[in-house]
Amino acid sequence: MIKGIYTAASGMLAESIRTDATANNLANVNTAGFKKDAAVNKSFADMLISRINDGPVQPVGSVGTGAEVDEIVAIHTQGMMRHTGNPLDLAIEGQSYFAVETPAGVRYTRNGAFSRNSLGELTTADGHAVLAENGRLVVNGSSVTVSEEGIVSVDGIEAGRLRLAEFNDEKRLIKEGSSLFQDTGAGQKQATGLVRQGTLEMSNVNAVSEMVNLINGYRAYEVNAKAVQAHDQLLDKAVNEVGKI
Amino acid sequence: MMRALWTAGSGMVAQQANIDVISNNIANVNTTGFKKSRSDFQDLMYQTVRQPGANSGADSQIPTGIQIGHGVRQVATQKLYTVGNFQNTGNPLDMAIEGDGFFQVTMPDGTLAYTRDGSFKTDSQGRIVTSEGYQLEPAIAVPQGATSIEIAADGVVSVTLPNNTASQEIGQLQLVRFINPAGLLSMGRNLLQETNASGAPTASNPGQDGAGTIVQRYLEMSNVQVVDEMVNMIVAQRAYEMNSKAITTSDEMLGIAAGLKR
Repeated sequence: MIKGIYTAASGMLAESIRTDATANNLANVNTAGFKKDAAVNKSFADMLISRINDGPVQPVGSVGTGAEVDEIVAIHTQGMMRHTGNPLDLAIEGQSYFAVETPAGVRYTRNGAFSRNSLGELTTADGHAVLAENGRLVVNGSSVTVSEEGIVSVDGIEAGRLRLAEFNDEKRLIKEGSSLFQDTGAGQKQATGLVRQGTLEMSNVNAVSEMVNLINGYRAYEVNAKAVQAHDQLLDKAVNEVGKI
Repeated sequence: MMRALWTAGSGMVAQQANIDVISNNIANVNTTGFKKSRSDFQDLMYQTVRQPGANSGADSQIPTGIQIGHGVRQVATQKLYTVGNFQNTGNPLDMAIEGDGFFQVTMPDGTLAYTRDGSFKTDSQGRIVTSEGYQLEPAIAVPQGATSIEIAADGVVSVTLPNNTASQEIGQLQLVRFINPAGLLSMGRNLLQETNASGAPTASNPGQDGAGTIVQRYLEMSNVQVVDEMVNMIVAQRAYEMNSKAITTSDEMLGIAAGLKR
């Protein structure tokens, strides 16, 4: 059938996925340490069109065949800092991540809303232990202070230094949900982030631009739908009027 | 159907729960010894449409892939044990804890519960009890006719009896500490209960082993900051509103898709 229907429909599909990503950003607008996703579209490969009906075969140009979502990439910019006053709330200023021990292995997070378990170990809200440079961190005491370099002191005695991870290629961190990132060969380097105690890093979702993305995606979807309809009308004419004997 | 509908729906549910927690904080703004809670959120799982790092050729890899998130969930309501404001009441049986620790009270079924609410009274037998009539543990009884009660910072309770100038010691208050007080279970009525997450209680005299000291004639008010809560409420409401916009948008998009077929 007519190529244009598939071309326009591919546009509708791509915009629908972009809207899914926007909806996820908006759903996580208040999630500490959340990094927003941006969906990037790309065009399908162009087709070369040739003239074949009269005379020698001649190329006359190319025509696009539609669009698809090429990648959804997490944008690792700094989120807004929110002061909470809770000594176990930690935020990182800079590009580093907290290392967390999960049953599936070491994972990384920017969500620093930590608490303690009954052994006094620093854990995430899911109960995964937050790692220090030499293993788990026990913060069993009445006053916990964390320096900018990540050195944790309990009642004035040094308990360990937070294991901060920094990556050469943050694109290779994939989201696992539950505020965790998995390292798929991002390559670590010396961490430079500074720890801020009593502070949470909020999500880096910008509500205004996400609303704009929502409108944008919606309208692009609508326009593509119109193109499908126009092609349908053309087909209707071709089938029912031109073909009328 | 469109993922965005469910994703944005999860966002609305999360913000609704957030408002519930905020309203409870505001409702308890004047509750003695109340500690505010906070909702913590996490992103839900991701659907991997295209695996990042997969080979896209003999010597090339897909750098980012396509992962579509499925929204948000509430993962914890964390109690924040920052210190509340101290209010002078002048009442000799009002006690505030300056520092760490909880008062320990005996429930009617014999189990122990813990509280920061220090507005104690005496019952008909002179025993020191909470507003609900639950006894302080270890039990302390004030002799009849005592003209004054003094509670020292280290928890020693002494009274002065009529026709006697010297004060007389009648008991020793104890405070209880937990490794993870945020893991205590809220029972309502200003009482908390031990859980596996909180760890076992360790009792000590006030001022010893990291326990706080007793301040007599003062009450610890709630640590709810009205301004903070109002700001949180506005943020949650707007987030709710934007998620509902995402739902109407994806609904309209589905309507367009349905309208394609004439």
